[in-house]
Amino acid sequence: MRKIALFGNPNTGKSSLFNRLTGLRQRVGNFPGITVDKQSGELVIGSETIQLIDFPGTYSIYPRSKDEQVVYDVIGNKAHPDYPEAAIVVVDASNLERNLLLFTQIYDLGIPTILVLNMTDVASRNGLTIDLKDLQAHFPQTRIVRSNARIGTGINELLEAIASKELASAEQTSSLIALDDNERQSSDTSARFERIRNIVRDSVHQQDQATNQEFSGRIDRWLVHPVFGYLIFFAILLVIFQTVFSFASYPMDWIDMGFSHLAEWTSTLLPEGLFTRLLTEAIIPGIGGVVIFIPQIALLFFLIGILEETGYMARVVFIMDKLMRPFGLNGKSVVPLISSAACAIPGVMATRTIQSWNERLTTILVLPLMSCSARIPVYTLLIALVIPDKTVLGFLNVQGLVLFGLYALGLVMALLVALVIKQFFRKSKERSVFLLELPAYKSPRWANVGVDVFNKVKLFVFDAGKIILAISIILWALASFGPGDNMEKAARKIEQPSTTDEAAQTAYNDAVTSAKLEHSYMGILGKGIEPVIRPLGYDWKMGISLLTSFAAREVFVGSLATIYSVHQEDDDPKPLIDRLRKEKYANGRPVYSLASGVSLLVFYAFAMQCMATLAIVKRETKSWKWPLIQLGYMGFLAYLGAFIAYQMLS
Amino acid sequence: MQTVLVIVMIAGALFYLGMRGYKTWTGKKQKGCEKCGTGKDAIS
Repeated sequence: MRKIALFGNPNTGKSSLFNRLTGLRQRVGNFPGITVDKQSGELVIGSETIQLIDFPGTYSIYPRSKDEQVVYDVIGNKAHPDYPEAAIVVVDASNLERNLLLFTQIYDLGIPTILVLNMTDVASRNGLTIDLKDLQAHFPQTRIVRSNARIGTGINELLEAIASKELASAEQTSSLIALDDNERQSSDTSARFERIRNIVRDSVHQQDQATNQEFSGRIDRWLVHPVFGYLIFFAILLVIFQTVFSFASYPMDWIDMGFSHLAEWTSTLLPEGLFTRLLTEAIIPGIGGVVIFIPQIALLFFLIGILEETGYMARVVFIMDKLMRPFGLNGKSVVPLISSAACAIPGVMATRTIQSWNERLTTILVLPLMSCSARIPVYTLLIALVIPDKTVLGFLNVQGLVLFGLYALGLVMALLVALVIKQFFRKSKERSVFLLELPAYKSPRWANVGVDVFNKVKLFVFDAGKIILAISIILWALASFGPGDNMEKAARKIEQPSTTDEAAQTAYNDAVTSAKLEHSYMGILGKGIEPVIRPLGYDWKMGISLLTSFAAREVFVGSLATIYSVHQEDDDPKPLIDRLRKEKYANGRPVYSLASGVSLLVFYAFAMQCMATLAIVKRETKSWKWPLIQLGYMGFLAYLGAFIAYQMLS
Repeated sequence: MQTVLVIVMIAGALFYLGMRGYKTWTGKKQKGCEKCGTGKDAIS
């Protein structure tokens, strides 16, 4: 199978082109550093199947960070399994001067090359015209193709070029310079830029002064302003969280009620028995506990997708750089930190762009403190439960504000921990630089946003859903069975009311439910850990949910749904939130009070409850030491924070 | 019959979680985030 490599500077639309050619759905965005490792896909042209390998964006063949080194390692070793027969170099047509450096480096090595002038729409909006004949004259052995990968123009021509097999290799006029020979690399780069400037002067013509770049510049006067930039960013965040809370609550209520009625309907339809109970008490509430968060996840990723697509996220990275540096973090830590607001795993992988090991390690260690999307189900359930649904200043919803506050809390704690690491543990003498090119603003490609949202929701439902469902089934079994006939004995001890009064019957049923649960295997387990969690304001049922969510945070909600569904004597199953509100201690005090609710929120904001993140940290640091340190310090912070919150509010 | 079904489902859930935990621990098939899928495409 022929291998063709895809190279290019960051943010030139390389991944969009890769997706167009292979039909894959690699993540794209108007944002540098999306691809941090090579990605392979198959391209079928006629009867030929070609392996297309997408490499991380790099400005030069000589790497400045770990992610960029992949290109050097492959190109510099003809025996490498990924060494390509040909290369496609994607360049930003609106900035040829900078982009041609990488192209000339590859071309001069004698690799057959196709030059793709991508983002031609941006170039023409900027008033640039490129004389292809002239450009071709400078690189006679390459095939030049114009394209706009976002909308798919030029793809057929590119496919023809790939299929033609007429790709000739240019004469090899240079060889790779050793990685540690900075002096030769520097003089080679200077000489190349000199040559490129001449080529661009001949081939690129500026026609119109009213450019898109100028338009972007005008907007940027506000968006990257040292004061207004931050204000606008925080206002945008506030709007996002308000929107997530306000709009998602309606479909969430419908889904919650729908699943409650489905459980009720199933129990009347099927004959009484153990399996019917498993269905109505574990499987249906378990699935409901997953499906209910679809509106919020979809809405959040939709709004974040728009910010990424337009190019605003690059501005956020730029303005946050100044905030990061005093805390010992590199400007490049911003991309991983912002990625971690969706999920810590791509964030950990994105740290490969950071050259300094100390700064990279610090970033990895603090990343999981950023509030990821898995925390949303826990946050929204607890906020709806214990925070009053009021508005302040006439338009700000208090629940939305608390959600915003939790995200801010995660960021502030991440910065403080980074500062502590910098001051006391890993002093770095290396001075790092952060270069970021601000892309021109683009209107979002709705198909990209939609596909991203769809994929996130699909994976949440099918991947997280399977874990939640499996844990729900096991929890149900633990809550439904107990040693010997202890559960029945405990239930028999409760005195039956002598009257047929409804209130007395309900109280009796509740007491039976509670006694059975307490004497089940789950009750025994929960009671065992209760002394440890009691100072945080949690009862043993919360403790069980806390334990199960150490595999993955969002399991907390599914676990609660299962625990509170088991032994429900009431004929009318109620939504989870109603059941939790009615949960009381023996003295009549609500279990889910403001104090215990806030304590739980703080616990979830800080605790490291994600096996997948720990596994990725182990892989990236090549040691179990760092994930274990992370688990330990975050657990300590979570316990301490939750303890302080509960003691202050109770 | 209902009891048999329940036993099968509990065994299935335990097996699934065990395999999932084993794969995460050993790093096998760990591609990006298992929950939201983010990052799955960034690893070759």
